[in-house]
Amino acid sequence: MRVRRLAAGTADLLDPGSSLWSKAETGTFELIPTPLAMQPSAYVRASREQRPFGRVREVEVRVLHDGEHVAFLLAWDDPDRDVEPPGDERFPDGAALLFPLASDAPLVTMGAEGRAVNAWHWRADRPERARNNVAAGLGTTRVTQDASIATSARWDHGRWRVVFRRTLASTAPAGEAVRMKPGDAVLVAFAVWDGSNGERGGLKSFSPAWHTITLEG
Amino acid sequence: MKGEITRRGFLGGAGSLLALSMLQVRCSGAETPAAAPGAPVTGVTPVYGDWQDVYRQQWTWDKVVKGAHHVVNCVSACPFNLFVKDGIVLREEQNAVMEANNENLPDFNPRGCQKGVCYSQLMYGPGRLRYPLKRVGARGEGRWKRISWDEAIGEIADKIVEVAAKDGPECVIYDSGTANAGYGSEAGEMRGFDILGATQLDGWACAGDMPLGVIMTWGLFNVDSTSDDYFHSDLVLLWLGNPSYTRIPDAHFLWEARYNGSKIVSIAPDYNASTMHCDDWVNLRVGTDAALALGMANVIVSEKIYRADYVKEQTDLPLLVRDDDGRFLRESDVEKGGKDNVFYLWNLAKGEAVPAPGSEGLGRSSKLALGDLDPALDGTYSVELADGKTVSVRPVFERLRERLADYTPERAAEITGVPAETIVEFAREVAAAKTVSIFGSWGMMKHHHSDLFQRGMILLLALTGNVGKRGTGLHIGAWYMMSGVETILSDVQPAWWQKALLKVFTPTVREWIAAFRDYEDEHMYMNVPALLFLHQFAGLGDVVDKPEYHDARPGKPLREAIAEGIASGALPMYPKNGKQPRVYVHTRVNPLRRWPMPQLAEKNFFPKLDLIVGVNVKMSSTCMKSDIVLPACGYYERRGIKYAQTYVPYYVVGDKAVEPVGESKSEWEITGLLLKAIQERARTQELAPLKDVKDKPRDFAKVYDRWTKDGQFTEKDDLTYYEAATRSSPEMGSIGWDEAVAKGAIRIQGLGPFRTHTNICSDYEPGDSVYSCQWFVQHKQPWPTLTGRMQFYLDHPWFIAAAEELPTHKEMPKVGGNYPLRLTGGHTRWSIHSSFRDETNLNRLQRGEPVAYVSIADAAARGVKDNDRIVIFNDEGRCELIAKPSPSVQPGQVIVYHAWENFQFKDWKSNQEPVPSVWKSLHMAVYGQLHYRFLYAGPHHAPRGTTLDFRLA
Amino acid sequence: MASNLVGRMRDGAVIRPKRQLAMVFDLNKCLGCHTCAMACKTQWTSGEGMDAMWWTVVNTQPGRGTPRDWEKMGGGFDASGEARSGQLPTREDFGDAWEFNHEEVFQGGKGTSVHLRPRTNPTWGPNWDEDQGGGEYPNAYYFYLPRLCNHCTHPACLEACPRSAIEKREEDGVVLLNEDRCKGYRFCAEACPYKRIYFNATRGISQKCIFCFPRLEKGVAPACARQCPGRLRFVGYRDDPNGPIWKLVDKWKVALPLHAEFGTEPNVFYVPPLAPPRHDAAGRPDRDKPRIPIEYLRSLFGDGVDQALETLRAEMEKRRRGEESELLRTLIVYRWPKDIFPDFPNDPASVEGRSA
Repeated sequence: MRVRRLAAGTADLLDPGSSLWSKAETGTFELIPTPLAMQPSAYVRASREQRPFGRVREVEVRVLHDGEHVAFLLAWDDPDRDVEPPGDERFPDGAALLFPLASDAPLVTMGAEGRAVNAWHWRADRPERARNNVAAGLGTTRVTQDASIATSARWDHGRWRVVFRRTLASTAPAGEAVRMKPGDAVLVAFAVWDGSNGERGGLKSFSPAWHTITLEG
Repeated sequence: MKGEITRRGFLGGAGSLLALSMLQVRCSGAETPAAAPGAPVTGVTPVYGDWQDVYRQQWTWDKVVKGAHHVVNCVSACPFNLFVKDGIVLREEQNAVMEANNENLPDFNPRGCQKGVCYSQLMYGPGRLRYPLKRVGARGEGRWKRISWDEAIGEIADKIVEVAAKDGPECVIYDSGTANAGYGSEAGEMRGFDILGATQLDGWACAGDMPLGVIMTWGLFNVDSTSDDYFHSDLVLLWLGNPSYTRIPDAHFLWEARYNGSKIVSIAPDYNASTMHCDDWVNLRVGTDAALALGMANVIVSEKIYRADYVKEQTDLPLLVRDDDGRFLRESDVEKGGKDNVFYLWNLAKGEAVPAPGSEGLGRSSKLALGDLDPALDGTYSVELADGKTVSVRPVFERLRERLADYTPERAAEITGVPAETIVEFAREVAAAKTVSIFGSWGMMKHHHSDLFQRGMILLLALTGNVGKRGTGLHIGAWYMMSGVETILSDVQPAWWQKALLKVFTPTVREWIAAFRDYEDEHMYMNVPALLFLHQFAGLGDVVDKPEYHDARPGKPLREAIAEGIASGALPMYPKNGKQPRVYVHTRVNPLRRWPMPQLAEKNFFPKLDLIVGVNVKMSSTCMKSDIVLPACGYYERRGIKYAQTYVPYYVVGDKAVEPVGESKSEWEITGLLLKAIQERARTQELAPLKDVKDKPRDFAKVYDRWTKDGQFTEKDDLTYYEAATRSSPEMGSIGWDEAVAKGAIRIQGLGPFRTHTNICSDYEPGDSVYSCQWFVQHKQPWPTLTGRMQFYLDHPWFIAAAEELPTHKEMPKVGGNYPLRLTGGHTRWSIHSSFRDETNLNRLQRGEPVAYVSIADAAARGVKDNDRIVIFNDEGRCELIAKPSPSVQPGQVIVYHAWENFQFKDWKSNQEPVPSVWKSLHMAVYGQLHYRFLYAGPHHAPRGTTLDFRLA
Repeated sequence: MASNLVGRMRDGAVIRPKRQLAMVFDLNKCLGCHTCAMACKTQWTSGEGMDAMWWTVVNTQPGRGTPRDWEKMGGGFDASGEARSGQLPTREDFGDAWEFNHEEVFQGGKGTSVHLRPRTNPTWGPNWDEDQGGGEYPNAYYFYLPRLCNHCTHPACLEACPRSAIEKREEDGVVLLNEDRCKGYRFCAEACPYKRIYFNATRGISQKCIFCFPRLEKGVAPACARQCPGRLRFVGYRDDPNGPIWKLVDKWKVALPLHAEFGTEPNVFYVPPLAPPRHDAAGRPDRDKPRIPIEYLRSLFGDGVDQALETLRAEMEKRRRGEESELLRTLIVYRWPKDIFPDFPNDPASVEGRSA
């Protein structure tokens, strides 16, 4: 997928309703539930046999950059707007972008030892920014201090539209955040959580392969 | 800072500080980066190493101070450690250092309960009073202005001086209920109002804790043991008591005694938290306790399994009663000029009537030991009177036998609902057991006919020889005296010769009582029984005098009994001669919560008052209806001595752990400030000495000097008092205050002198449990009754007219009207009176609102389900509660555990509104051991058994 | 991953800690007073987001318990050792931390038109069915069941956590939830069959009983045990033949696990409740029929409950005849604290209170 370079205000880049997005290429990606066998705990495997998860099966993606920032607009259908913080049996909706930090980082296991992945994790209960996560295998995700991923979200008529915006470069310590520059081909994958379906942690739907996006020079 | 207080001002301060300090240690929030195992932690380094350190940090403190929940409000003496950090009591935990009495008895640790372990939350809680408040709206509206202490004290002093000068000091009414009685700061307060000549409401006469049957039978106010004494009981009867609720720190002794071989039987209409741990449950019908006791006594007497030797020596059952008038045969009957307090028994050894040992008129040398006497328990005898006539006489035992004939097991079964076979077996068990004790406590005092319950219970114990030995007796409650408190606070000190005499001469119980009666008459005569006061000034009389609320044979109509008592002076009643109460000061008590039918007092009494002052630690229902509210220190903010109940062989004291919350002050200081302001005003106004109700001078220009004992103490200095009080209390070891508070719990060195409220009446025997009534049973000292014996026969004409001259059973009158259900209750497990009723966490462990336990059958018949809102109602009042139907509740019974704040009820109509609390005219009788005295006998609160019904709200 | 595998099933066997701390609760001494609950509350759960937490509670049995109907919520392991799906209890099920309107009542200027009550209309609380129980009058019955984290030998929570945030300590078997690693997924709370894990919504993490580990480190017994005025919470090592736990659980076999069929090998044991005899139709005690139906007790404590009650009764009979009984001496606790938590006898007032 080609990522067009546009001269745009940073505010526009963060606005899911901006007309800018009509200029972007649209990619539609199939999502699947994370494989039950890959769930890191026997309890989760056993308890989810009869409780389907990974309800969101498709995400529409548009990406733009302005030479300094990159912005991803993810859109998917979700009839329930779950924006309350976790509580009771309630979980918020969420979405994530995943980038390999090593060229051979495995996607399905969320990286592996020595081959970490970087996740930009947005949750509907904290809509303003995404957390920067690093993982090196299932169950190892940790939040880093990097907080420069701005997000903006809109839910309308049963559809989420969420923008992630970050600088192409990053001041985060090496090995904690993906770095991009114009002209790069970047691998990315997507994940979505449907909160009202009890989805959290490894219970989610994701794009099962890395996709390449190429940033215009 | 003045003007209308803000929410923040009222709530701010230490509560928020506490929350803040909690937050400070909880730094490891969701934002803290979590390290993957093996990966170095990056980003901001948290203050503490990891989440475990956060918990470790949470369990730190600056200092540990010995604390106690002093004054009498709660009866359990529980020493505590207070963990203080940054000037705040973060937490408290039991100071568990009390040793066992001997190797075969368990120790006393850890004493405390869920209330005691969260007092610090109450102390900083939303109800806590922090500043003097003055009402700016209508009474009870809840609009307040924060005022300074100077303003508050000045305004109160002005009004007291004005009222005392114009109407007399007795028009100032002081009420500390029973909640503020104690050995510490609060004792200074009581003394202060005594000096003023104010009327003091005797709250004991309103608490429902008055053991009238015990007083009638023993002449004693209260008796009890250390709690480990249950280990010496083969059989313990929990009779109208629920120690799992009301004696949380002591209950383990009962359940452990059961493991040690004691049998424990619960006698209660409902299956309760104590019944569950008993070996048997006797589920009698509400209010039929006397019939059960008499049914058992019937078995014991008819099967001749009573202890005849014991009965002859210790009871009035051998005393002769005239057949013609039903009165005891007295010396005045048989000798011209003879005494009317010398009684007779029939000596079978010589075939003649002889004066009964112990008779009051025989003086101090008479002991109960029978010697060569062989008293008859049976038979009819002929005695020649002084006028030459002969009269037939019979021992009380004969009459008792006749009375008991009305209570065959079958008849008792009909009354009580307990099968006759059970009554027979149970009676035999009581007779066969080596040692039997009854846990009765104050729960057995709150029925209209509680006196009859108690007389029946004591009859059982007496017939079987179960009083005055280890492991026997009636457990109600008793206190260790601190003689230093008296020494320091009393205005009258014994002369040197009196002190010298006391070293070689031990007064008898009767002599002590007489001495204190004299002292009271001379120095402490301003007491008015609270119920009588309400009868007079709150319109309660219009309700409780209703003949239909009394037994068909009341002995004397209540209104007449009261009128006679007031006229004769037997019942003190002030103000009188048309004067009205004008100032009402209630300290740490909550009368509108406690009084029967408080709506009457609000309607009729409060409007008479120019000024209502509340002194309290927290906002109470009564404070809400007051004009000025003064904030008192909580337990941890001042020194204190726990009112010393005998459950433990320790005195419990508490130090001041932190500065007072907000501007609160101790009762000691508040009293001093008030008396100082009164004295200043009296001097400025050149007020001549006032006359009190006995025409004795009350010189307001000297009240402060008198209170300080001419500078011996000041309002700022209570340490001098505490130091002197402990040093001059040999029963506490005469240690200094510093040593006392370093320990928190100080082992008793003696039981203290006999006082009218410290009724142990046994020698201190280190190395074993403390138990009661040894002096009478083992040392043969006469009981402090007219006959000198456990007295089951009361030949007062009212008692004879009521057919209550002997123990009997009477059906409960329908107090409240003709309704099918009976209200019962008990002390709640969740609060000490109303003090903890609005504590947030405690409420979260309940339903958050007042509840009534009702039976499944009664709920179903009324379409009531669990958690439905119901109204309980009768002819006198109503209130709304949440229903908890339970199969544990006897059909016909409604249980409302006590002491909800009025402000927890819709429209503030509390569960006391339908409760007239009708007392018996017999309690106004004057007869030997029975008479009104401060903190002794008199009219008393009887809420249980009120008739009512309920319906869905 | 967690550094040790203690508490995990490996090759068909649970990896056990070197020693296991355990508790025995004697239900025949429990007063239902909740001093344990309040001691724990003031000790640990006053912080933010913890208002509704009662790591230890006391339930009236029979009853729906805390959280409501927890026994029907699943979790644990089935007979073959497979994890059983569990339900996530809600805040309402646990009983919310109702807020009260003190200020409105005390200073709102509204007089008697408002009264103090929860701001919401609660339908459940941590002790909602207190003292209601079962049966029919006069054969009503109930007893108290104090509950807390069972520090299981095979903790379902530990196995369930996808982040390995729950650890069972090698040295004493205490199960701790690492609050730094926790992400609040609450699979542990689903999996725990005893439903003793709470969710801190403010911090987005799960929290539970920590067996008062900061106190243990200083030789002080857990707050719930040390502050229990009923003196019924024994604490000690399972394997100490001189300690009360081994005596009550293994030697005398009077202390039984709760719902052993949940498959987690809990380390809290209960001395089952005795009760006064039932009354027959004529109101006479029927000593052959227990007041508390034995089937009900078996459903809680397993088939061993018959023998445990029999042993208790027999020893009590012996003692009534004046004979000695080691079992009853143990249950009585003549010398507190050494007879009840021999390994943790220290007085907190005597340990250093200032933070290191």
